[in-house]
Amino acid sequence: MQFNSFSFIFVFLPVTLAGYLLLRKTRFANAFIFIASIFFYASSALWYLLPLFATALLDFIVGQYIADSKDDRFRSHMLWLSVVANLALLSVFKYTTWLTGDLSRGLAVYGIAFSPITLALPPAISFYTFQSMSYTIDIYRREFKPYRSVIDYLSFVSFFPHLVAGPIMRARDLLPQLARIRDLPSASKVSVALFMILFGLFQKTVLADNFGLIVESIQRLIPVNGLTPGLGLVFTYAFAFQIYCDFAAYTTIARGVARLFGVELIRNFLTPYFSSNPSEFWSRWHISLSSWLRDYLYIPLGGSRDGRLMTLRNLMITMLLGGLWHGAGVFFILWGLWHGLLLVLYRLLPIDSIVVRHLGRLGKLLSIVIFFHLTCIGWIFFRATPEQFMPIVRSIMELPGAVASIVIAYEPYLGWSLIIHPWTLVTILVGMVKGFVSANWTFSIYCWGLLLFALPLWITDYLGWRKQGEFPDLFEAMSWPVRTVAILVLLYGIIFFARREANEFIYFAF
Amino acid sequence: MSSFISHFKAWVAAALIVVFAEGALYALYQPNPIDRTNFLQFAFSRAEPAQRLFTFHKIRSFEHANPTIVQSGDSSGFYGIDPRIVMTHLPSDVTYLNMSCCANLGFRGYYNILEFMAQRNPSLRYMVLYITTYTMPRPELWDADGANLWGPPGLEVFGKAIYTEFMGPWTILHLPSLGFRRQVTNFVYYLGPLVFNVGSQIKGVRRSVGEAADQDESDPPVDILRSATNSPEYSDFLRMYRKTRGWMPESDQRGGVYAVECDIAMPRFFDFKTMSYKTYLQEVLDGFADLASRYKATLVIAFQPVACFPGAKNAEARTIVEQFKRSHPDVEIPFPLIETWPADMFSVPAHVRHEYADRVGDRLGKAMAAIVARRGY
Repeated sequence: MQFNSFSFIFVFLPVTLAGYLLLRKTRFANAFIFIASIFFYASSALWYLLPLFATALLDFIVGQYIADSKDDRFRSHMLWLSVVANLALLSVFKYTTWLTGDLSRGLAVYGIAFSPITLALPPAISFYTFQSMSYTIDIYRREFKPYRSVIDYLSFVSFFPHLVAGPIMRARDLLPQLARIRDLPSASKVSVALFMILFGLFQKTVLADNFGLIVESIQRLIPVNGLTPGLGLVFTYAFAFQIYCDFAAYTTIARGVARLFGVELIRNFLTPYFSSNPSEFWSRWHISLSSWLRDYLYIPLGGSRDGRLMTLRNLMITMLLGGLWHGAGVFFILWGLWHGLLLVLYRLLPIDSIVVRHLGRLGKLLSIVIFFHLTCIGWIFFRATPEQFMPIVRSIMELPGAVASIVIAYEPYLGWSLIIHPWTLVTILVGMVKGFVSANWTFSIYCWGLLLFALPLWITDYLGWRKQGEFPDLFEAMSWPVRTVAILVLLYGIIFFARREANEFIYFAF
Repeated sequence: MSSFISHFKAWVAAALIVVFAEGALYALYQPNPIDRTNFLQFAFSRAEPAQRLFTFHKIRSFEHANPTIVQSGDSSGFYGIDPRIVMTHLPSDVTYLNMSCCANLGFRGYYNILEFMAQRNPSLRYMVLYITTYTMPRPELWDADGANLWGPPGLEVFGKAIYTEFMGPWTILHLPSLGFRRQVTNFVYYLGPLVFNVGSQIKGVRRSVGEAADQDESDPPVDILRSATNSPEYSDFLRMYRKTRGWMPESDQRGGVYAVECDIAMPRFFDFKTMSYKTYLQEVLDGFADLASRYKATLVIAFQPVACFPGAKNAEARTIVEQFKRSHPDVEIPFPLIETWPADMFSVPAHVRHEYADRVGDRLGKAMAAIVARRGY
């Protein structure tokens, strides 16, 4: 079931909420949430439940054994069982198709026929395996005591607001909230939660999906006529905004919905494109995954304890595996390596602080712009197929030439225009723009579209960034007339501009 | 309590404004309920698929046409059956409407159109399912929605959308303002006339509606001018449509059509109701028969003539149709599944050339006249 569907918003959510409120003070409340979550998750395919239950029940049992045992060897064996089983399950579903596909192509070179194995990927498997693994690891580390109620545990793993695309919640953060009888959320919390849901729906249906339309349209041009100068850049920007709006929207809706049930989910995004360096970016982008990787991979690998070289190695390994977590394919690995490289280079040369020291606020702005573009390079790896990669890069490289050709064409008139009359200059500049638009029509159209949909994103993110939060956080501080306007703008934005073709959240595929 | 409500002051105010604004829009303009849907995309710089436009305008034009006979199905009937020709064979007070569009609707779409018309037109006595053997039932044309069958990328099966947007429970949420989506998106996406004018100067209106229907992969998906809906030919097209009661003369690029054996695949699925395997053809025929009996109408299943001929590759399909005919005496199947006509009468395998439309119309008209004479109306 999708957050951006009528059946979720007008049936599932109200019914589940009503049921929860009725049962809130009884021991059936979590059982009810669990059943609702299962319905939410398996409404499109029942078999999705098999890997979910396999992971969850194994980790529940292993967690009990680890907690009850004083034998360190046994505890360690049980932990390995959990980690290996989870990663094996994840790998089978996630990488079999890719690896056997490559193997098949490789063997075909030698004349050996081998049919690749195609496995459907159950949604959310990357999220719940990581979440479930953190449960056993925390128990093993004695940082968390297991809960004896299997229903409480299952409702933690399957809690529907965050099940499909995160945030990846740790048991120690979410289980205690679910296991107790929670107070009714206050009126102000409910009001903010509703605004978060509305804003998330706007981000998804109006912004992310329309950026997606631009991305898909440009991708379709590649095999037909190739890309004209600059279209690759529009593609890159559009995808950067699409993936952010799409994923942030899911989290925002998830957090809003969870609040209605009296549960606080952690923040997963914090205006990441205002980051001025890679370290800051990863503390603002997919925060629950980056902190998971830090706590359960980077630090166990040694973190920054064993000298600079080992630190750099650990960073590269962590980011490489982070890339692989996102998807099966060489380009996902390259994306992870790219971010690993950025982190390593930043450790060696913290360029933004140097720029800020010399240029002040302008330096900060410059750092943000530069780092945004470095992030965008990573997104090309993330979205483009190997066949699309070079046409996109080529199109980006050709943009300066296209601009220069127009400037050169008008250059003889520019000097004279100043002598004749200043207005002549304006006319010539307008002519240059028209000339450019005429010569680069497709590029100009998509630029316009990009600007159109990016404007609300820039405004809302800038307002959030100024207050060290996200846009929905500002809702409480607004006066009620401003709130009313904000609600109406978002609502009518959705009514008029939401993309009508059904679009799943991108992170459902991870 | 009052402090509780004060936290929702903005929500209450917004709700009141929405109610007032929507009420005012409704009172002032009374937007057509068919316009107040999400059926058309009005997406940024992407042409509306011609198939969706055809379907939309047929529904909009003929929603309350009170026909006696309604035809639904793939493009063989859309281009093949001119209701004016069919009606020359029928009693003067029997009216025929061609609601066929294209295989992109899928059998679920043909079904939904018949049901939609039956719900709104108590005059309806006959439901004609007019199809060709080239687009026989298969999973993506019945169970699923969204499969890309052929043609331009992104043009998908959309039959379920007929139900969702025109008949489903969520239609109660179709606010009056939805009826102005085209104007609002024109204004915001293209700054009203500004970008249109610039665009027209630079590019001109590149495609007419007919060309839009035939756009292929080499046609870039940039359509800032919304050439289909904003072209001058568009209103001519709508006028013609209404005059012919839903028929369009075929305008295919001539390709080679060859007389070969008809190859009709019969995919199956496990039917939990009967605990046995069933073909999609059986399932679809049963479904349409149930639909007709629910609305006390007679189902007529008519197959378009084809250039291919009977043989082993289509024996199973023919057997299923014969079995269905025997087990459903209430359903009329006036033509054999495969009726072979000379290949040069076809523009593409599924379409009879427009110069032979009178022959296909006469063929169906005579059959319908016999059925109507036998069963009444």
